Amino acid sequence: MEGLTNALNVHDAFLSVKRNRCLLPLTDSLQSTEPPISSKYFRIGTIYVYLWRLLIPRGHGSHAFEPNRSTMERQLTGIYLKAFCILILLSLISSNVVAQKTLRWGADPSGGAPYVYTDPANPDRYIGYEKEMVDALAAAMGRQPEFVPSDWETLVSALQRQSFDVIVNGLEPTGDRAQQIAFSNPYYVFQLQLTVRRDDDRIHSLDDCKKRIVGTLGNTAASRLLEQQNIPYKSYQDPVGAYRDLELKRIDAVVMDVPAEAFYARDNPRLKQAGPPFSRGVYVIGLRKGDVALKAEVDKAIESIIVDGSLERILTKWKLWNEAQVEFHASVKTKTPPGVPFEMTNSSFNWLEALRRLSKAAAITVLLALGSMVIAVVLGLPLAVGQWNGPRWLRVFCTIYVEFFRGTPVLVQLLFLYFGLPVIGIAMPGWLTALVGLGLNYAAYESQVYRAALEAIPNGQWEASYSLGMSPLLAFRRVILPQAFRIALPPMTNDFVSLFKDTSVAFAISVWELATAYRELANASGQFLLLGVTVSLFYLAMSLPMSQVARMLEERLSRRATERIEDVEVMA
Amino acid sequence: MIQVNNLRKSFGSREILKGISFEVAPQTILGVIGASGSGKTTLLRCLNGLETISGGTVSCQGVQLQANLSATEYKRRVRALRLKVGTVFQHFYLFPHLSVLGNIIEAPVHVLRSAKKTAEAEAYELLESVGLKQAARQYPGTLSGGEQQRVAIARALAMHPALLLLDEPTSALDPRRIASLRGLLRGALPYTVSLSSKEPLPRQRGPAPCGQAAPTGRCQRQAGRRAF
Repeated sequence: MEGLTNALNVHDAFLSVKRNRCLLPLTDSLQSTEPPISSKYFRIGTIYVYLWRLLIPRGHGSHAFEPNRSTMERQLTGIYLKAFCILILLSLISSNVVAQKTLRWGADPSGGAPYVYTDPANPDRYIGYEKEMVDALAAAMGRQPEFVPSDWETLVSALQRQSFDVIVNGLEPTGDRAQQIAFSNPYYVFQLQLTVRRDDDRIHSLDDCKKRIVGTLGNTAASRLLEQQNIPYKSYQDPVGAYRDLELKRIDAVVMDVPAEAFYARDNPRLKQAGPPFSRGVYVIGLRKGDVALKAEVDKAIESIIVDGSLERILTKWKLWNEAQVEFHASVKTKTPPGVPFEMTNSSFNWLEALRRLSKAAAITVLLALGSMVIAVVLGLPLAVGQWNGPRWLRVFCTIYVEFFRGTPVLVQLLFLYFGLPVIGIAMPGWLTALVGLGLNYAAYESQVYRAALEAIPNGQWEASYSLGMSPLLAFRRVILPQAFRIALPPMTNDFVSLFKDTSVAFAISVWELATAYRELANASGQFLLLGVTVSLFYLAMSLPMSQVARMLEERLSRRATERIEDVEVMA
Repeated sequence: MIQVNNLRKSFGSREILKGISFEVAPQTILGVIGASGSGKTTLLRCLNGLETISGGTVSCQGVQLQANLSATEYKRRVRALRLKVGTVFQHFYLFPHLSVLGNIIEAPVHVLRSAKKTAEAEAYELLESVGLKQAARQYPGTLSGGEQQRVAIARALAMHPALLLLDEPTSALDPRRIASLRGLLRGALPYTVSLSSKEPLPRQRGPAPCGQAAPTGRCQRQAGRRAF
């Protein structure tokens, strides 16, 4: 309360000083530039000054503002006020000028060529055939297009959250999506294309892929087709990653929609098409259910750009005009159904299947955690000993290792191992990368746990071992290590539980573990809530018994190791 | 049994042992007496190689330790010396993760490579002689200070040392226990025992109290000075 009174005094003093000197910078400077300023802005300005003075205390009570404040400071205050008022004016103006309705459309521009992607020549601009098509559609609808960059896997949920009004991203109508969103009429007929390495003679069609791993984009017609045919596949976030892994032999083939295949793979000398394009589906625009008026508007616009030939021009420009489009456009123009029926894939989501796939992901999570922990536990010991008692060069090396792996995020390390190492010719599959990456990372942490434990063993234990004739190695192995292990066990358990959860970063390199499974299943089904609870239960079901086992082990070990430290001098 | 000749030990510029000479005959007890900080413990640590000596010689049954040896040779001799010298530390330093029996057989099995069975049989005999046979399966943490000391003596004797060093053996014990320790050491007297203590063990045999640069084990007392 006292502070407030003081502040008010300050304010009064400020104003009175100003008035006395006829130097109200706020009014006279504003009036000189913008004469019809309202008293409201004056008030806001005063409040601002008041806050400004509150934020930057200068002393106590009414002495805070010395009458001889420098001119510079007064000018500065004036400039701040002017900028503040102009900001407010601008925001008022901009909120009033919503002359034209917008068409906010969402798509994933990362690796999104030729649909919509960042212009390599100008990173601030997006280009692509769908970008041009949306421009044409918006023009036909009399709206202003506004692009909202988003993520492919979460497009549907982002649409439902009203982040944008339509999805235009090579979206195929599927049964499960139809339960969540509405579709416009089709605007493009796509086919799928199988791509393999140029020197691969084993694969000529999808039927040759039964026992191989095929890469594709997650939650697409292609991925669902592979699922239906029981072909093992790995889903990617973008075509670049899939084709790169194909080149690196991490996978044997890639199935992709023809537009993406044409852009990313057709001109790659190390890849080739395996067989002709197959399957036929359509791209539609996704809308929120209930946006009936917008759907009618969009359908009309699609028809109009097909009829007036502007879509054909765009597709021709992007080299996407082909036989299938000719048929499709003819059928739209003559209002007859297309000759070849479109296939519609359905995701086969059901809870039994989801639980089966989650269990598989859980098993991989456990194996990943166990494997990395073994690497960490084994590698941590030499690191700890080296840093603790090694020659100078080894100490320096171990310290650098530890600081590097502790000081950089494990996600960055994994990305580096997965995407960076292939540049120098070391291409590991995703699971191995995750295993090695997490192992190396946690080895740094384990080494510190060991080092602390080793240093906690009293020197007398060494001396007692030595005077019994033991060599340093024997003393370390038989006397020091078992005692250190006991001390290290609780923090190691802690690290293991944390490693267990950290396996979820492996989703960044497309390893099918629990987090990846959650993301993909939830995106395919829209069951974010229920699947989220299920996945959490899976994690808990695994980590709780683990902590329990560790606790039992600790108790068993510590029951013996209650060494009484006696103050031997007391009785002397 | 052990000859110490002009033994010197300095830590930096501080000289703790200023030329000590004595000899201990087999089957005798030597007590080393002095004020705290006078260097009793340092002397014992030099005798089993835990401290590197700065001058003079220590020889025991053909192993001679001297200051100007190469590092590897010194280490080799220290290890040979340690097989002949057993030590019971002031704080015992039993291995808390091993049972009493485990503590005793650890070195015979892993250093002398005796068979586990024979080592155990011998350990039981030793435990019987220190009166702790029933505690063989217990862990050191559950024992009292006096019991721990007896285990530590048994552990040292299991290596058949020629010489037993005890650092402040009476500091943890009340007078009655001291008497029983004396009995125990008398029983152990196939060995030579060297003690360091602030006060003499009552009625001990062998050359009694100690001092500086004693000629042949007979020492004068010079308590209060940081030198023998």
